[in-house]
Amino acid sequence: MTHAALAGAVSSADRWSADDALEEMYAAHWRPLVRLAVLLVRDVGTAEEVVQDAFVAMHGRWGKLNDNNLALAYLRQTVVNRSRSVLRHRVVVDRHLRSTDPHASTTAPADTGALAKAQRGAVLDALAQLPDRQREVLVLRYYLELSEAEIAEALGIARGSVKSHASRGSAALRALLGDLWKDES
Amino acid sequence: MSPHDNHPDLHDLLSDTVADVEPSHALDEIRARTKKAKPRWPYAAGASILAVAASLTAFAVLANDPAPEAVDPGSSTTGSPSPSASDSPSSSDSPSPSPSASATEVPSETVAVYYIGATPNGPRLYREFQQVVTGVDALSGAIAAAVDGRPLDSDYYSGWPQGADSFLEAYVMDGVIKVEVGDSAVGADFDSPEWAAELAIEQVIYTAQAAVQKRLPVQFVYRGNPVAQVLGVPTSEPLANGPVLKTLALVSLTTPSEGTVVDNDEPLVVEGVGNSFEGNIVTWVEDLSGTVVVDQQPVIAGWLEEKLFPYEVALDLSSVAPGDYVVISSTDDPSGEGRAHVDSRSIQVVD
Repeated sequence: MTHAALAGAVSSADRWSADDALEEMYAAHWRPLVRLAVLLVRDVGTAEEVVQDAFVAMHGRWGKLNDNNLALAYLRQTVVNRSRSVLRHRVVVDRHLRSTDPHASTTAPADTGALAKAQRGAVLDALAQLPDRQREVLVLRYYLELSEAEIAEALGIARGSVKSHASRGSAALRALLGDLWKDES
Repeated sequence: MSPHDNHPDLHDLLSDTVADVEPSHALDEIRARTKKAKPRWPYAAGASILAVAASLTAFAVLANDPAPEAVDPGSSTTGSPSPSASDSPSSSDSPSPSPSASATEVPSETVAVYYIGATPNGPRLYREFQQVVTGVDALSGAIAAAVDGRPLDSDYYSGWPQGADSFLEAYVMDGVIKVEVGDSAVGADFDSPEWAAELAIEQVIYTAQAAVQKRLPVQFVYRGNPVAQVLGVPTSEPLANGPVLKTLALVSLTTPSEGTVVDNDEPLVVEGVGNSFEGNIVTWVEDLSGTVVVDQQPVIAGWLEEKLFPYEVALDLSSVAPGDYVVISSTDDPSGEGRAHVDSRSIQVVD
């Protein structure tokens, strides 16, 4: 089903089914959402799990969402929330295991981007060191390029807080990345 | 203002960082999960556990009976609907700073979350305090934590199917806590053991009541309407919590929380709730091999009432070397037959 077909299909009589929605949303958003989650949780396997969970949740909630834009907002919000939950869980697990491998599974199949693999790892490391909110705001704002209002809505925080998290977060990231950020452009 | 005004290159930097991430195909797996939610808990339950579970059936209360005492079968002694210490955290009852909050400014709220764990009387509910992030209200956040099953203490688990859309949101309306559930909670093919499903329902009831600090009945709702069954448990009427002393573990630690780092110069303050023979609760510290490093400290909590009583005891850690330990609180066991209820937390002692 195409987006054009969707637009006209939002009457209750002609309700788009949750299964159709899942397929459409998956095709359009699976990869970008996994990339979003990688920026938040660092490793690809965890990111895939987080995004899978989000799609399953979206499918179950489709009766309420019933709209592509709402569904995408819900997916993003769920990815952010579940990422945070995973990170919190990981803190506890790490403390118990006391054996964290800081370079674990940042899988990137090929070095075709502008950044070398090591540099990408450095960016993910730096993001991981930020407080949760700063990382979330930076990623939503500068990666997804959401507006302050959209970020405030997605994170359930005030717009003023979005601003302050963004400025503190980018200052912190700049300090952590040093030359890497400056060289990149 | 455009997001790029201040940081013209940050978008590129982040995009490049994940430009090569090519996730594997997952649509089939997601489809499989939306068709059938897989439960995840130990199936090693024996016959005795099933027998205990049979007594845990949630009490239906009449939807049109607003009398608050009718919804609190637990407080038979006083008949009062006032929050019991077992599940209604006042601010003083909540643990202070959570050690799990590594970031300095995560806006979050501490809520009581009930999970399933083992006791000598079969699986029951333990209470754990967790930080729930803002963006959700405390009620929904606490229930989501209970359902999602990420207890800090690995001895606990959730009876709900994992990773699915079991729980959507909760709110209070007309003196009833409405808990909206999703497809995977009402499916006919839910194949959990009965005891697990009943305790899963009790998890939500107890967690919700703790969040609102009232013994309000809980109505499960699906797509806006009361739903006949959730996880196979009848739910068409608003439900009261199951009897406290048959549903909850008889001792549950409040502080320290799992993984707390403590300085051995300071006394370790252990707080919890319990109900024990003659009120006796004992608390001690073991190392990971089970050797006792801080001897049993008794404290009187309470008994002879249908509730859990708060207790607090301070342990002297000055002779304890830095390392990993376990704090354990136990009810009294006059029978000597290993019927004591215990709750434990891992701690790390530092100089």
